[in-house]
Parts: sequence; structure tokens; C-alpha cells
Amino acid sequence: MTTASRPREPVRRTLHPQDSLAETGAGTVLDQLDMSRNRAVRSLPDGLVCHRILARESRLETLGRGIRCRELVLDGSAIARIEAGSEVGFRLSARACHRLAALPAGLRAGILDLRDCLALEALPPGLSPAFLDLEGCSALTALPDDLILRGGRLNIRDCALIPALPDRGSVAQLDIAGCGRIDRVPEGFRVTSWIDVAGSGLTALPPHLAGIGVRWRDVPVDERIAFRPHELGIAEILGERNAERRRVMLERFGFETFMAAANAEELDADHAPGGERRLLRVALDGDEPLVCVSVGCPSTGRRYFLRVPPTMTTCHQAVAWTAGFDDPADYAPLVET
Amino acid sequence: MPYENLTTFFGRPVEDFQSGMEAWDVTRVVPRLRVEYDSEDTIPSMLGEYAALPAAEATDALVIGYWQGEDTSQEIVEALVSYAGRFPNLRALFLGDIVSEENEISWINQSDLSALWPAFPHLEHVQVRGANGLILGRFEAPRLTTLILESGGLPRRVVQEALAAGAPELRHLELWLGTEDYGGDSTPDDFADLFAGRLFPKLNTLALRDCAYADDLATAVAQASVLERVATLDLSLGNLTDAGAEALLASPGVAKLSRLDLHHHFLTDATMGRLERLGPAVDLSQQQQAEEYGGEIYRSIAVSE
Repeated sequence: MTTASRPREPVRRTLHPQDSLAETGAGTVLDQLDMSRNRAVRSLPDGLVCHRILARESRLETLGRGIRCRELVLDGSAIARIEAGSEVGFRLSARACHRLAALPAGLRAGILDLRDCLALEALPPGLSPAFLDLEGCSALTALPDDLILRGGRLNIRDCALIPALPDRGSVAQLDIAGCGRIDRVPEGFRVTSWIDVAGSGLTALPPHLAGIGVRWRDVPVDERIAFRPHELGIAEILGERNAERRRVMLERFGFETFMAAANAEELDADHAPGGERRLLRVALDGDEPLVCVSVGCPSTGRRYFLRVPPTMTTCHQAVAWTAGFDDPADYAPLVET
Repeated sequence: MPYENLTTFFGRPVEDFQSGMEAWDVTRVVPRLRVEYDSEDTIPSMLGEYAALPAAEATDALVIGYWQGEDTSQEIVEALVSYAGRFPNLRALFLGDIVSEENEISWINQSDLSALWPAFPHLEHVQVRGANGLILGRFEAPRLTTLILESGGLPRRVVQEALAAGAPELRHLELWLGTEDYGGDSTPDDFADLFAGRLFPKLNTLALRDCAYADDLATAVAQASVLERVATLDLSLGNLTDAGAEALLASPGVAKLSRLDLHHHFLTDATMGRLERLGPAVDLSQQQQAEEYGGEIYRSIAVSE
């Protein structure tokens, strides 16, 4: 190593759950303070300078005045107030901080992760992060008028009260799933890579977003599946190779509509931990019949259609085949998850 | 595979940037940011330190090495984008200079890289190792000349994203396709537009490596009009046999190449001799022997796990 100066030894402090910060006075400079799960400290010393403050699941209630850091992680903590004048240069993560109702003006962090902050009702003016995650902030009534996104992501999934997106800004990724009141993307708001539109108020992809990826709660779909599911064909749905995408197609098309429209013949039906199972057969022109088993996932409750060979005659045989068993007698799962 | 960390990148030696360093000579060496498996450092915090140095603004190439195995590259990508203003001259990025001793290629957890493209519009060379969770997104990369995606199994979705790139300057396209066992579910059909010459007008090197359907791929590419454009065709690391080689031998387009890289293959000596006389400089090293277990013949590609 000849090109660079010798590294300075980083100054790191770790606070165990019962440790206090008594001897840390104003003007202390640290590289890292890890007080995750600490129960004793309620506030940081005024003027603390620390590159990285980790206070996950701590009892920290306020930051203290004039705190300066690059990275501040408060996920699951008791934080109720972040003082005005706090400097967080790179990343503020405060997921699931249920007492946090407001943030101070002038936050400059490039990454703001505030997912599941259920008490958060408003954001301050002057924010211009690259990544802003507000998923599940269900009390948030609006985004600030002057919010500018710088190229990364805006995630407001399930922030059902938010009525509109900012007029300008640019992101690679936009998640407005569950935002039923949002029915347009302003022309000055650019999205370069993908938009998740499940359950939003959008009824079509705006012209200025033509060609970007469309998602339905994380599953890549296309504009027809998202906005015009009635145009999907039965054979197209059954022929889809990707099971997640096929699930969304079925969900969008409507399960009952599908069953009726496909005029499926029921070969077998029984019950399993995930609910009712049905083995359905649909004849197709110019192809071998499509035989699918309809099953429920015991964990998620989602229903899946799995294509199986046309020789299958019972639900059990078909499910055994999907698990890799040619002989259904060999397939006897103890627990299904 | 791969076994060795980079020693050079973008034409200069690579050295590790370490937490606590207060200067960096960016004209002489390319910084690599990586952590040890038991380190308290994180790459985002190291990047923050590096970004605070005067050297950051002049940095044209950056290597990201090992990150904690179970983590994805998401926090690193977000840190890069967040600090993009400090790296206005970044032209080359290697995301995942990770060798098998650190983490097997098929276990490397990547992430959604789509925010990198608008944040770094000057990128010319992008190299990524590992394809678990990898998303390139829809992207414009106006200066990109080299795109290399190394994997033990490259999902078809990622292949499609790479081929849909707005990259008019692309000269070197290198995809390690890998095996279905590790998520590599592409087929020759996925390359139809590429082979027909409809993409990347300046393409010079076409490298579709580590392919588990190398014979079908060779057959498809042998008749492809894209060969009129490229000088180097690289089908190395795959499971090519004489069947695929026959298609290459019969192709006027292949005969006119300057370089044909087929190393790691299952060709017979006779076919190798014919390929050597075909015209292009041809790499036929690492001849492999098929293996037989229980009556089944196995021809393994070079990089899977």
C-alpha cells in the first residue's frame, strides 16, 4: 500500500442493553455508536458527531440538539422527536417507529426509509432524497408540495390517503400499490424503470411513461394484465409459464369469470390444508387439453393454478406430480406451509 | 469459479480502500470497497468515507467486492445512487468482485440496479457478478460500451432487460447464461432480435458464455446476420459438442471472424482440427470429457454453483 495514507483506527462504541452514555460529553466524535436494543438511553448528548448511529429497537426518545451523522438507524425504536437542526447526510432509517408523528425541516439524507411509521401524518418541507420509502404510513395525508425525488425510488405503497404525486421529480422505481386516490402521474414526474400500480387509481399507463415496466404487488406484468384484464384470453392465462404472473392474470381476470368462461370440466375435488382443491380440464383447439389443479397456499391464502400433465385424474395425484412424485402413493406431506 | 479477485480494472491496478484512510491517489489505482465476513464495516459506510475525500470527484472506476453473504447489494446500490453527486466522473463499475472462497457465484445476492443508470449517465463499463435477485430494469445508458453479466444461471428476464437496453454505443456484450438449476432459463429464441442484427449497431464482441444449450445456441448464431458486425464470437465455458461445431464450420459468417473463443468444450480432436483451419484465431483450450453416471451422459458447463 503506497498510494494512500495509513488508515486511522476507527472509533467505535457499543452500548449493551443496560449501558448509559454518561461519560460521553458534548463535542464527542465517533465513527460508530451501536446502541441497538439499549434500554437505558433516552437521548443522545447535544452536539454528538458520529458517522453511524445504530439505535434499532432502543428506548431512544429524542435525538438531542445538533446531532451530526451520515447514517442514523432508528428502526423499531421509541423515538418520538427528531430535533430541528439535526444533520443526517446519507441515510435515515426509522421503520416502524410508531411514536414518530413528524420530522424536522431541512433533512438532507439521500435515503429516507420511514416504512410503517403509523403515526406519521405529514412530512416537512425541503426534502429532496433519492430514495423515499413510506410504505404503510397509513396516516400520511399528503406528500409535501416541494418534494423533489432525485432519481431513486418513491414507495408510498398502501398510503391510501395520499391523493396525488409531486408535480416534478424523477425516480427509477415508483410504487403506488394500494393508493386508490392516485389516478394520474404528472407529466413533470419521470419514472425510468418500473411502476407498481396494483389497486391504485391509475386506469392506464400515462403516455410519458410508455415502455416502462409495470408491476402488480411486485410481480412484473404488462399493461393489459394491469389495466385491461378483460382482454386476456383463457388459453393465454392457462398457458402462462410463470406461476406468479399467472396468479395475477387470474386474479385480474376474476376467478369465477375464468371458471365460467373456460367452461372447465371438473375431474376431481377434495380438501387439503390450503382449502378446497379442484382438478380442472379445459380442451384447447390444436393442442393437448390443459389440465390444471387449483390449490390454496396454507400460509398466504392465495390461490394458485398449476398446470399438470393431461393424464392426471385426481387432485392428490396432480399435487404429488408438482412436488416431483410420479407415484402419488409416495407423496404424503407431514406439514404444508 | 471465479477464483481470483481483480488485480486490475479499467486499465489500472486495483487496491482496497479501507475505513479510516484519509487520502487516495485516484490517478494510479482503482479503489475496491469490500468487507471481511466478520467486519463491523459496511460498504455503504465505507462509500460515505470515500465520497468525503477530494479523490471522489475524479474517480472514474470503482470496484465493489465482498459484502456480507446473506445481504443483497440493495443497500450498496442505494448508497451509490445517493452519493452519485460526489462521483460525477464515474465511467466503470464492477459490482461483485467476489470469488468462490468468499461466496459462490450462484449465492451472491444482487438487487434492483435500475436506479444506477440515470444516476451515472457516463458509465462505459458495467460488470456484475451473480444474478440472484438481479434486476437491470428498463434503462438508457448512452455511453455504455461494455456490459458483462457473470452468473451461474442468468434468468431470462435479465437477458431480456439487457437486450432491451438503450445502449447505442455497446461494443462488448457478455452474458454468462449458466444452468436452469441456478435460474438460467433463457433459450436461443430470446436472442432472435440480437442475432438478426436489430440491436446494438456498434457491437464488436458477442460473448454468450457458460451456456448449457451451447449446441443449439451455436446453431442459431451460426446463421445470424449479427456476425456481419462482430469480430469476436465467444461461446466459451459451455457444453459445446461436435453437433454445434458443425453449424459453426458451415457458417460463412463464422469463417470471417477474427476471433472465435470456444475454450472449455466437448469437441473431438478431429473437429478441433477443422476449426483450427477455419480462419479465425480460435481458442480450443480446456477440452472436456463427458461423464457417465448410471447410463446418462453429463457435459457440465464451467460455472454453475
